[in-house]
Amino acid sequence: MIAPGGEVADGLGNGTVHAVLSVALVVGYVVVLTLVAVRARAAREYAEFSLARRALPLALIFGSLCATYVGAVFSIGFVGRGFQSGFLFFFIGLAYSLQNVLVGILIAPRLRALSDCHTLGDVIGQRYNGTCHVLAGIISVGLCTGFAAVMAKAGGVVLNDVFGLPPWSSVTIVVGITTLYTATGGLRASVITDAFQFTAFAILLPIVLLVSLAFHLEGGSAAFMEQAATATRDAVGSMSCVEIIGLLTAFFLGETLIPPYANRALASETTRVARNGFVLGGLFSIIWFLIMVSLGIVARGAIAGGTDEDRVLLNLVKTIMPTEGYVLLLVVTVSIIMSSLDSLLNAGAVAFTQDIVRPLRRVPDVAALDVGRAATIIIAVAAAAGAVAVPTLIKGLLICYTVWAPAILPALVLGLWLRRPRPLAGILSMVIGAVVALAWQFLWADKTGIPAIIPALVAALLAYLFGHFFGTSEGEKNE
Amino acid sequence: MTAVIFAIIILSAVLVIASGIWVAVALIGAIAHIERGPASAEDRAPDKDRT
Repeated sequence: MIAPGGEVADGLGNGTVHAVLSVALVVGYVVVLTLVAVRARAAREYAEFSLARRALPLALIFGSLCATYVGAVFSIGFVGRGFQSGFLFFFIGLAYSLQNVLVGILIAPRLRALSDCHTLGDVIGQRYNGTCHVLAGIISVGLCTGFAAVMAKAGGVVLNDVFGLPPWSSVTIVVGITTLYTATGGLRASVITDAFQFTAFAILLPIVLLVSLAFHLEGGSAAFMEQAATATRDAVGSMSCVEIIGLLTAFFLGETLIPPYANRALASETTRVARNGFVLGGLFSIIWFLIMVSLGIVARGAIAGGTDEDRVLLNLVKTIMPTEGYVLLLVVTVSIIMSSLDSLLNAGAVAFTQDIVRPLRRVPDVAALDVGRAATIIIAVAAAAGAVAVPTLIKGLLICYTVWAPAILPALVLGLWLRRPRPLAGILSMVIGAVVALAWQFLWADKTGIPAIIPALVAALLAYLFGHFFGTSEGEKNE
Repeated sequence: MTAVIFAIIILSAVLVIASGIWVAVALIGAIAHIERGPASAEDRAPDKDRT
């Protein structure tokens, strides 16, 4: 890493030229990003702010979806995991890929086919009742704020490492810039800047891999495979079966249809675009994970063995790329984080407006747009404040995963597939799923070694079954 | 076997770069579409399941 203060110059050698070029790269990237955001234009109507008029084409849905899920964990984190455990996390990541493909085939087109839905809360409200709608909204806003806090922390860490800024100002810069274009342009600005950011990292990071394979692979392909086999074997041997099942479950369900993904399904141009966007996104994640994990394996022969896993990617790039390449990668890293953060801020703001405010009081579209913008800012401030409380990136994400899957997925998926879903089932599964997830995570996860997502999912499903058999549907009530 | 895995990794890298270029082209098109001004008649059609 470039340490605060003097080491920049050391790393550059005689480096005024390098320093100027590096600054020019950073400034150039920020200027282009700003131009792209400005071209996206301010949202003038609530339908533009929340769903970009439901007119997004396949390439933008695909790029934005990928940019949203490729956050700090699926880039920096996966390179670190490849460094530590070879191909193990590539295989675990396949659970995530499978989930995306299944969502594309089974759920995304059904979501898109529903009319007058801006959020998952709307979907749940349509299938159950108003109470479920608000409950889903509260969970969505809470989750988006939590995820955004993790992303704000990640952005802050990178800026802090690069420029030596105090953590609070690093977080403020990342959150401030992201909030500015998200609050102004809504979903369309978020999707368009995501597409730009996707382009940057989808081109640059594979180039880093190709360069490292071509010029920096100690011992050639045989050594690469030997490193991969050794690391994978050691990692598999050090994990229990329950741990691996817990990880597979978390990757399979933890991010399933979180609000930003659902918004992209709802904002697609057609049901076919919704389906293909998610299927392609799932297939893309397979090759993306392979590249990230391979970078980690290459790094085993290029950087010191005891390197902290969150620093493997940056240390590798610093070792094998010229200074400008390293600086550009740092910018791209911040970009990866911002593309996830903007999606979370927009999804949280739309969920707040649509699922909490609108069911409780009648709000016209013009006022809803203002509420959405204000909510974006409030969630951003809460996320920036919460970033300080996030223990580690992985821990923060796992808490969010743990709550989301049990609290929302049974009610959402069964609600979409059952002919007459019962509100009692939805309420019980959401409340019990969330409570068991939080209680297990903080009280029993360490003692038992069982990841909270598993018991919480079981409890949510049982609660749903109970509510389904003992409750009545809205239609039955009216009869 | 090693050669096959290597070829898959390199092919994956090329595919990711191609995805990035595809999205970039679509992005340029989307921005041009926005700059052309108000939505076309087709865009303004009532929301329906256009499968």
